[in-house]
Amino acid sequence: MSFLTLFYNILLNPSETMLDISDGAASKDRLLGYATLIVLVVSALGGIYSPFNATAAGLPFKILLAGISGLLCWVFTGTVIATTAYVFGKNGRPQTILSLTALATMPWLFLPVAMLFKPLGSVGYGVAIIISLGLWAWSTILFLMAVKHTYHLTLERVLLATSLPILMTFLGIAWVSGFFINLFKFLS
Amino acid sequence: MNKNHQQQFIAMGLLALCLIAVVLGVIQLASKPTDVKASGSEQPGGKRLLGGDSRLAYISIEGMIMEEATESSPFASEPSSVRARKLLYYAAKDPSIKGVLIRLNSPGGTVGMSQELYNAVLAVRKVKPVVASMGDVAASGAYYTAAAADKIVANPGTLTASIGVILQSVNAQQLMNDKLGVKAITIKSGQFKDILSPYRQPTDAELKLLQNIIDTSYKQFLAAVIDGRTKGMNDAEKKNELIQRIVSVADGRVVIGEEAVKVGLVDELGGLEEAKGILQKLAAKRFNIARPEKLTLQEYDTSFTIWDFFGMGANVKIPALAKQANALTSPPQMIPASLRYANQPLWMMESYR
Repeated sequence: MSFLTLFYNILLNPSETMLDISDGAASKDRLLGYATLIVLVVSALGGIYSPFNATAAGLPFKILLAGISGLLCWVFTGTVIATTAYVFGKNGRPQTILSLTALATMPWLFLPVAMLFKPLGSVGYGVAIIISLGLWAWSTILFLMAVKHTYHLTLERVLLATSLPILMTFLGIAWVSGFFINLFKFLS
Repeated sequence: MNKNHQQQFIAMGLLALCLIAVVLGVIQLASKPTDVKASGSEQPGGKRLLGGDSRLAYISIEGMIMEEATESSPFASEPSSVRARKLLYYAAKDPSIKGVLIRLNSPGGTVGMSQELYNAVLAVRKVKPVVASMGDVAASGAYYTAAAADKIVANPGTLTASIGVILQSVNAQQLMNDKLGVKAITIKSGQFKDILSPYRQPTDAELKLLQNIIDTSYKQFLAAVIDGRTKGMNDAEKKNELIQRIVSVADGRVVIGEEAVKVGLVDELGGLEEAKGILQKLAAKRFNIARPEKLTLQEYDTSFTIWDFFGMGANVKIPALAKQANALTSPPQMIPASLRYANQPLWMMESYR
């Protein structure tokens, strides 16, 4: 599958395309390469349109930094999902979840188009916000689809599975803070 | 066209759209100015791609006022005074700019360039208020530039005035002839063609001619200062009194900010924040703006170099600071500034750095 075909199908026919990739019906040649490229480009766009960018000063470094952190974030997210799935006995290839979660970020490629409206007064600002929220929703739906098709889950299970890391984070914070609270109790 | 080709064509179009949007976004970011606060901190500016909100322009003039041969390029900024002249005319025409604050930190410079800056400030003053804020030094040509503004604000310790003209040269006749045995051969079309030649004593006629140039230049300087300071004053008695006070210190002396207010060379004591407040009030009055505090002061600078893009533009964009940094690592130059720019009249406070 060429990059352009993949780009078209993920945006306009995502469910079927992701299922094909997950089941191995679609060719996985260069898929991880495409996925890495998409993550890099989307992260770089995040660097360009960062709210902390007052001017273009130092932009290449910011883009480089955003690209590296984006890649790390992507691998971390994929690892967390794959680990959670493994714990619950679901087998899916790590490459598949990595590729599909990367493809799920594709709508963010349209962020520059949304940002073009931002300088056009308050109406343009509103349009930019609405488009950005739309891109966020679109990308989230694709992300849920990626998890669904990689591990062949129902929608309810997908929602539970994706919220588990968040819930586990809260548990982790409570556990660590509990340790320090008890430590202070002994020391005081 | 089969389905696959059609899909690829649509995908290519969408990607091209994104790419164009990225390029436009980066260009827009590159032309974004920054808010200027008295503390010196910078925040994102509010310049809009199409038109924009009402704002006040901050234009700085630093270092020697002169027109160097360097042109603005992606690799280097043009001299501060050249950039300021250009920006003043832009600001005069920019409808979103409701007032201009000129920040001066300069010992002065060449006569022609100072006059051009003065005229540029006057051009702005015709259509919107201008306030000059003085930093450490705003002397001679820099004071001349400030005199064109509606109001002048200086710090109590600012060094200003130095109203006068200086021209220096070197007579190395004895050194060249007696010590080194070097004699100049001069073939000239007129008696004044080799005026201020370092190989001989200047003649009386030459000294008279040069003194005449200096006197004329001084008269231009004084007249412009008086004109700028008394513009809009209707009370003839007060006007004459102010002129007398200005003339009394117009002998080349440097005047400290606190004294300059008493003499009438400066309107108010204060820093950038006070100058901004005065400009906000003047602009609000001129353009009937209900809430002057809403007028933000923004750095008005459209120049953008490749160094800025890589976050290394500070030294290139602020030549005065770069020179100060160099002064810490290099031995002092014991040659007065007027001799470094020898044989030309200068509206400049003499310095040895």
